[in-house]
Amino acid sequence: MLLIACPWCGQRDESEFTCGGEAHIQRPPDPDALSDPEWADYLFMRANPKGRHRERWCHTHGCGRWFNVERHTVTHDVLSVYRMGEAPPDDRDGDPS
Amino acid sequence: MADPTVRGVPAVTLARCPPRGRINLRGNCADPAFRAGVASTIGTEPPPAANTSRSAGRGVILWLGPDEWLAEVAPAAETAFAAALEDALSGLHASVVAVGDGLVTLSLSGPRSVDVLAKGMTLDVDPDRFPAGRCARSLLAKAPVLLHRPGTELLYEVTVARSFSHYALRWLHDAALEYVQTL
Ligand SMILES: [Zn+2]
Repeated sequence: MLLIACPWCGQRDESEFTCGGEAHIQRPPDPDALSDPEWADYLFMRANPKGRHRERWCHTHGCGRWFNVERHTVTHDVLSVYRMGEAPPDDRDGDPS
Repeated sequence: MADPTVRGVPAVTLARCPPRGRINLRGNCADPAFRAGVASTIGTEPPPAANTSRSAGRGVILWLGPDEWLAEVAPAAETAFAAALEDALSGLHASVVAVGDGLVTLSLSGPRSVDVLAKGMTLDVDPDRFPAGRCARSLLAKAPVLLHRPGTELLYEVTVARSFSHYALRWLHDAALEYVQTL
């Protein structure tokens, strides 16, 4: 069970949250211009890393807000939590390890 | 045999609260016009701090999210309050929805009420960690609930969707049984 610090409510149990998958995937500005493989890549292909992973989570049974979580997929450590529209912490302090 | 009382006080008392008027309120708390509109109607501004409530003569406002609150008012006045809020907030990016009939509030009080809630909640509801005026949406067993501690006494209000109220009441009753049963 993960403990996730909601940016508004603070530390809460994982059962209150819903995971919305990989974060920072941008919808192509002009979908009609994409080939089928490019569109499929946008829709279905995800990074699935072994290590640091940025995800969207929703505090469904709390304040109902969506936000971002950086989680380690092996240790399940929650490395950072940041609001929608905020830059990931690594991008802010220039340490993309 | 379980002791049904702790120091002469019933260990747990579970009750279904009388019907309440409730209004779900959404808007931008940073906007002075929104705060003033709510205050002129309910008697207090919406609390900006997460998981807190404010009470006034005319009602109580509970924080649900950074732009969402629940105002509790007298049941007979729900429609009038909703109309007054609509007027006070007209022209603002805000929403007012009367939701009183959709929700049921149960109350749990007594020295063992914390132990009863702890069986089905991951929130720390210890009186020191969940002080008077605190509120939080969370889960009680499998039911989404809004938990509120209105005052300094050991009394918790559990607000659930009406369709979950039978489940929540039965669940709390079962969880409380070991503290109140006399054989
Ligand atoms: Zn939250």
